[in-house]
Amino acid sequence: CSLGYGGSKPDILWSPHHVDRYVICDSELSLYRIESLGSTEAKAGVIQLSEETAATLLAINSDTPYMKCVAWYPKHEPECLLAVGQANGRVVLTSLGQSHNSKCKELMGKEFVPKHARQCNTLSWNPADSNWLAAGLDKHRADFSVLIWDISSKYAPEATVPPEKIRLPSGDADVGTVVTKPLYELGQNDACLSLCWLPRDQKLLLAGMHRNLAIFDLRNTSQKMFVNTKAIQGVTVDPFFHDRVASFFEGQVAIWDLRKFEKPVLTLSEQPKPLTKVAWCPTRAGLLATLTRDSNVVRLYDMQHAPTPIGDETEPTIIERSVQPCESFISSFAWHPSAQNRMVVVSPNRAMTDFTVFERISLAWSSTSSLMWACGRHLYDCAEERTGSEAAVESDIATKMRARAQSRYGHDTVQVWRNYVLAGGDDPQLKSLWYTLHYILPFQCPYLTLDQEQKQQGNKQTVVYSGIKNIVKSSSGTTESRRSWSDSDRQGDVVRYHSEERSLALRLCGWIGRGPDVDVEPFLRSLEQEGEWERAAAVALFNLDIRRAIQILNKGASSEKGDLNLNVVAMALSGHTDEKSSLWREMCSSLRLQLRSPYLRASFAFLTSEPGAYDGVLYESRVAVRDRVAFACMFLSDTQLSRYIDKLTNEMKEAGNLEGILLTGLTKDGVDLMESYVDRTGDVQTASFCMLKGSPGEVVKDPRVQCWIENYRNLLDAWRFWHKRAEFDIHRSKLDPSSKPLAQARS
Amino acid sequence: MFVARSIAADHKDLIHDVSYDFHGRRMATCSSDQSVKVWDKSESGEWHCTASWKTHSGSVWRVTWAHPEFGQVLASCSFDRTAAVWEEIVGESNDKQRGQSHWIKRTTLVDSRTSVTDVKFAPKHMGLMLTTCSADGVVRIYEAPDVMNLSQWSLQHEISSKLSCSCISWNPSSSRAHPPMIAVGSDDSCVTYGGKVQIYEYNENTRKYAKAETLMTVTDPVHDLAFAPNLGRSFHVLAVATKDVRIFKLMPMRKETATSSGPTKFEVQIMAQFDHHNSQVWRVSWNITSTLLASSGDDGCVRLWKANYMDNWKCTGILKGDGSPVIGSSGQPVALSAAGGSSALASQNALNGVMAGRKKAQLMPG
Repeated sequence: CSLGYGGSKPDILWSPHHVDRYVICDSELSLYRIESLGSTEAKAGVIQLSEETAATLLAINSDTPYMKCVAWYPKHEPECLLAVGQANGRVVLTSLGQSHNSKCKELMGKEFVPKHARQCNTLSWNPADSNWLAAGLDKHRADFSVLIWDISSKYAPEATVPPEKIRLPSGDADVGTVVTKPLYELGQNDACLSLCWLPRDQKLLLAGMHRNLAIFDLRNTSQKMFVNTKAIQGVTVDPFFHDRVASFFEGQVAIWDLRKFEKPVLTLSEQPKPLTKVAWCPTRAGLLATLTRDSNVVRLYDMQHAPTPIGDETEPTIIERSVQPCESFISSFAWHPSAQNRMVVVSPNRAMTDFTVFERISLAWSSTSSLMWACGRHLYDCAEERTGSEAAVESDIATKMRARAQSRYGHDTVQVWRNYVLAGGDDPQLKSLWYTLHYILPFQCPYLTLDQEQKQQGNKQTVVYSGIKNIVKSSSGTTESRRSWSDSDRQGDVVRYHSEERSLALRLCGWIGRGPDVDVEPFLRSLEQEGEWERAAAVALFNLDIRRAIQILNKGASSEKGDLNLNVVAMALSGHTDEKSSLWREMCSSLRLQLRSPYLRASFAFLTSEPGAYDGVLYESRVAVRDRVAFACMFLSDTQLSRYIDKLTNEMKEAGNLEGILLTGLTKDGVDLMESYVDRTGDVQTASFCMLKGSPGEVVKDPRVQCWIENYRNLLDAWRFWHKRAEFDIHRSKLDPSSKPLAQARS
Repeated sequence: MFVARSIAADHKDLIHDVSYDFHGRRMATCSSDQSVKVWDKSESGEWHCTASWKTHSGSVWRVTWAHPEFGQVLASCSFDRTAAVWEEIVGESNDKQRGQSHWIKRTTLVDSRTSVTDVKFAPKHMGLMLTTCSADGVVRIYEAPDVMNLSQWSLQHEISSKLSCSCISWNPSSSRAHPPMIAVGSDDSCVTYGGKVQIYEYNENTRKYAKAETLMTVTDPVHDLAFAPNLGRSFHVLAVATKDVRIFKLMPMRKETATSSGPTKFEVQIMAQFDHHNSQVWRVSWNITSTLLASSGDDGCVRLWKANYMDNWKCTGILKGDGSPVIGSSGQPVALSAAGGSSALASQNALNGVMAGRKKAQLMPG
């Protein structure tokens, strides 16, 4: 191997036989050993090269000044013998580290001197006959520029060197170790910029000369094959395909086929800056790495896909890639001789990075959420494994829908709210949705008054729930009553509004039950049962029952895992006073914002608000929509209520918040809201089951709804849930008789 | 958490593509060794190669499955300038007993004069249609008029994209509101040629495909693109693998008049742009609900992306190409997880796309 570099920019050479050693050459030679980080931890002088590897400096040799090029002796022994080409054309053999090998001692310091001094540009050891070392030199008049030295050449008579003199001779020739007679002299009247021996015959030498590439045959040195080209730098043979050679000129790489040497088979796209190094990957066929000046990327050309003869033209395809091993500019790089696609790069300030060029990975998701990828020649099947610690973490909607399909989610048509439990029971929006659908089930026609409702029972499939928004719009005959706190005997100034529609809305919100009874107590008890103390207390307060609220909070504090702070809240509540300018009011209205519970915040907002100005409750976004709506139905005037509901509805639609289905009902508004929900989540399953409840009616015929249903059926198909799909189709045909023919046609 | 297991692929050269069938129970791989392999998943979840055959006389770039409604049908495309359609033969044979199946070539599509770089079946609702694109910049759409006869394919459309094509993706939406639409990516490296992603839409009146949109902001070579499964959403999402991962949202503008015959106008938004790979991105793939995106890059890593409820996309996991976990700067392995935001592992990677990237360079060279 040979290299040419200018200035003192470091170059890097990998040991031909020790996979863990390389040399950095700039003004001196430094031998490093590379190892995994674990084994070298905490040792001094260790330089980290990557996440996993580090290098240790083993030896430095600064005996050879004016280095221009270096080539590592290709044989196992002596292991650390290097040939150094100098600025004056001399080639010196030197070594790194200790060697007890006698041959090494014999060779070290040996010097090969050309007739005329000029720069040595390149060196190359013959891979077969390791005594042969080719040197390429600059032009000197009519002198030869390619010299092949035999390193076993006998010295001059006084050659016996005492052991203590095994030191590299400096600039001045030490006659004792000097060889001046090359084995071959080639390239007369020319310059040689690069060299490499051709592996197919040990007597063939490829040289980049001044204006041509030449192949010298040592069996007949008067003959040479050559082709005129400017691409004469960095000649290098593909180790996998011995007839393929790369060379370069400025920013352009030429690829040659030695069997048809007339012109390059390929020139790679020109790079804006001059190239400094081109090297074939020793571990992967057809992979060429190139480096330009002042760049932090190594550009790779994958000629993996060798031309296959189709017709008569053959053109190789090249996949071009750039990799960036480090942030800084790269001075040079060297492929690792055996580790797949691995290289070490060195920066101008000698910072080194161990880097692997990865194969391009292709990948695919399966319909059942496993990921397969191919890297190189290997396949990896990647599936999700749920560990205990992750159970709490929210999984992807695809996984959820699949699990929900298996748990018969959506199919409970009697206890409709239970679908929320079937869904996994942790999503507040789904909870709200299924409770809404549950509450509306007995009323198929909320427009109607309660008397009419009874009559509708026999014909209940005809009208679809149209949402609180429409209900309050149709509200008429609203009455108001001035209410006071239940424990106060004073005339209160809290105005409460009543109408049949408002009562209906309260029922749909779940606050009061069916029938003429408008008692909120059963609802409070159910909240207590679920441990929703703050919410229960707030609902009690909104019903102006401060004593009940305090009682709830006390109960909450003393319950299992109860929060004792609830008692403190109860205490604060008990100090409630209507006095406008009391200290209690002042403190409550300022401190309430620090409360963590949105329901407690809303409670104190209510207690401290001016009559009719309830924004602290109405816009407390973490209070459930149904509670805010129920509150609004009690305390807002017709105009206020209508405006508030409109605003809230639009907000819910925009956000695709399923809590808003309470407001929109299963109308076009509801489909709009669901569209935002599907856009946001992809949950066509919930959308399909929900909208089927709107049947019969326009909503089910909405193309968007049909599209969700089709997409859900398609998911069931993809998951091979044939049975589930059949069940869904049956469910669908019960709710939407018009779907029957379609289902049959498609199945 | 995702755990990767290695499968002995036994391809003799680089694998260029993996493709699942509709149900995720079968898989096909193709390689530079000029072969395609078909894999079947056993009840115990293991993959077995049930067929392997030489398909082309060059590297096979892509392989893809038709919808099972059309039978067990594969299409492949190659550097040898052809695409081919393959069908599995079901019958009594010794092969079957040895767990091997037999695939025969139904047709070879030879219209391209250059390497065929991608092949995709159109969505099922369009019928049995096959699309190819090639390095000479032509997208070809073929149709099998008789789905029972896979040897007859007629070339229905030729779209000239003017740029060397590297990848195509059909919009999978089956909604009648969305006309057939195909995105074409180009790996042309000349930045000045402008947008490297073109979107063509079928026009019912002219019966032709017309360009509806060019993503002008994508000027670097595109290696892969993928429309997200639409799943009844009102907009389209397209992931693009270029020098980074990009996710585009295409919102069809409501047509003013029903009679307007031009292509749909889109409002194009970029939803995410991630340079975590810190190098060229090679492939992108969506899960079935398009809530998870996987990408691979020249950093040798597979990354997983997920959007939170605010439509903010985040990296939720990384694995190296060899399936091993990436060791983060904290020394903790950074797992691949489909789970959203809250896990500690995810938060380590929860750098926002646009500002991330640089740190990752230290984490994984490259």
